[in-house]
Amino acid sequence: MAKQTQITIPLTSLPAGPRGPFASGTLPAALSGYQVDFTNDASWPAAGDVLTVSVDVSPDNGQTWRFDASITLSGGHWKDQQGVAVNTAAWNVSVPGIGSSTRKMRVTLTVAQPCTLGATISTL
Amino acid sequence: MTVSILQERETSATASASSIALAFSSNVTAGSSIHSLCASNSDNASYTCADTANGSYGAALDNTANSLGLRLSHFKLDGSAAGADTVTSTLNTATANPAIWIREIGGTSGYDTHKANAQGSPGTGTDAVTTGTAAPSVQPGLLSGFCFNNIWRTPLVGTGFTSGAKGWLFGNAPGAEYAQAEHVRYTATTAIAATFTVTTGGGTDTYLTAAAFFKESAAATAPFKPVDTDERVFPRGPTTDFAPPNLLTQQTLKLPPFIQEEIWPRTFYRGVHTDFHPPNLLTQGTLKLPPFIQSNDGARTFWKGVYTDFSPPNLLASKFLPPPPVPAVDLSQQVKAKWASIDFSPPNLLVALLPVPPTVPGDWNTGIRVKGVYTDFAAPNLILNTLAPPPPAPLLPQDISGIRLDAKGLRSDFLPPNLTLLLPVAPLPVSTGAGRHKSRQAAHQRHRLDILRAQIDAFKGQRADAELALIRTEDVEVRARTRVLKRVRLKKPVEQYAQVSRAITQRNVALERHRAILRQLEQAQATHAQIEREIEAADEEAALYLMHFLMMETEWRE
Repeated sequence: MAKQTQITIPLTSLPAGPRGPFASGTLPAALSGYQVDFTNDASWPAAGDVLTVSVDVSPDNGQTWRFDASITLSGGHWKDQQGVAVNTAAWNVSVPGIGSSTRKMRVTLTVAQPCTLGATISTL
Repeated sequence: MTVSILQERETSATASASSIALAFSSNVTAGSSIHSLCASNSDNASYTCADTANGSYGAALDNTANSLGLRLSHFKLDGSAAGADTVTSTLNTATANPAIWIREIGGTSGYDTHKANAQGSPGTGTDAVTTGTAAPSVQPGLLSGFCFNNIWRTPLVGTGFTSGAKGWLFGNAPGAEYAQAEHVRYTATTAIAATFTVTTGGGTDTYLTAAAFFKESAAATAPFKPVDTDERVFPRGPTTDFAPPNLLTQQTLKLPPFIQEEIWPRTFYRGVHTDFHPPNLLTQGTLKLPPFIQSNDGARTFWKGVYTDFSPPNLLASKFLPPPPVPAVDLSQQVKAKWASIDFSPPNLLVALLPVPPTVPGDWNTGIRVKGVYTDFAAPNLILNTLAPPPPAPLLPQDISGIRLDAKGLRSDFLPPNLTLLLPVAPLPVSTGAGRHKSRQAAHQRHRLDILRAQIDAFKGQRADAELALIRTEDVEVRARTRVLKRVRLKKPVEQYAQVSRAITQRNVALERHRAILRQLEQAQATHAQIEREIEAADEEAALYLMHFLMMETEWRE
């Protein structure tokens, strides 16, 4: 399935504390997973836990939500497979099986250190 | 239950992270094992693994790393709690490219052994990528294998393995996964390895592989427990069809003669509670049926007992004769008594409107308010206004009053020969009051006899009803006893014994009712016989009176 953007969080300065949730519309039934593409800038903290990104999935158009995945991003330069510093990073999560057409997702940011971050959540 | 992969998921990121968590898509089954694999791009990293349902997974089974800094660790957890579950991989230090892969293994009794390997340039030979062999301690079991390479050249699963998911995209588009899972169910304890085959890149990449072995749980078959006939406990199955082919044992099953001869020619069984199949019938050669199991009353045959319940609905009684119907009393045939000027025969007697048989004995000597066993002659049953005209008075000798004139024609002169003189008939012998009384008494007795016959028929019907009620209460008791014995056998609390007590009470009530009806029947039959004797005597006396009357009339005419 082609990559399809569901939620866009522009590059934003985020103070400490929770942000969101940022909810999507109805997700495609045939998705095989989703991908979160992060963008930061030079102000990204150098060390320590910066923020936790949590994804919840609803099987019933937002009536109920269930935790799906999370990642705690740390300070320090992001690097690609070759070790080169970059300002983008990706997070992939698989979604096995064929789901229903009533699924939605939402993203919650829990910021531990002030930072600048943008994110695009897409289905695959 | 066969060991298998119930579900698996994976996630990966390119950013530097200190932890990454992933939930199973479906609730985890109680007792499952979980095989989790954690990776990152730091050969100095170490991981701890835990989930929300079970806690920490303990130490890693293996930690493997390659020269490029890729590290792969895998963990296992046995006997998982049921429910939603999120597995978290926590790194000891922030590390780029964290990833986690989680697999739920069902039908397992737990982890057995493991193996892991790191290979550089394994080549493109079949099954060239391998964990190295490990020997499971028992069989059967499931090998959960995994391969992770440093570049997205996903290897093919090894010979004989079933492909699991592909994953760990690390930002790549689908189809460029870095890892591959596989599994195989083994049935021998010979050493085996998780293998993969590289077909691209000349086999010059670096591959990290891991394998964990999980034992298959024992089949959930209950051990056979011989039937202890002394305990009178007979196992029952959920579904029973005693019709062929289930009743294949009819040729060989040795049952007591009283059943053997009665059942096979004409009876088929179809039940819902009893399973006479093996192993239930393994004791057929020695099964001792208790005496109370038989109750053969000829046309209707019921088998009852603790061992089996052949009564409905287990036994389709369609082959049995239906219970005898309650005899319908045809009062137009049985009630013919005429009393004074009242004719109790139809249509005066509205038989169709009669209520159910009353139980108040009748008193035929108190005028209109006459009640019988079946009949209530009181209003509104007895409609006096519509009674037929009274029958002509019987021609008795005292009713002949003398000369009667027989006039002919309207203009007749009363001279001879027009005037026919009818000589007065000689008076008949005067009937004595005693003779008339005897005649009415005999009629009364015959009427009582008719009523008694109706009573006897009614009692027979009631006896049949009571017998049927008794049999039903016995069935209820047997079922209750069986439930209790079954619970005793299964060592469960016997709280259902109260049902047995109630069933016994009901059966005793039915038995007492049956006995009472038998006593009434015997009493009615005795009274009937006595009245018959009285009527016979009265008839003899009436015959003598009639003979005497005829003789006197003959003498008078002469």
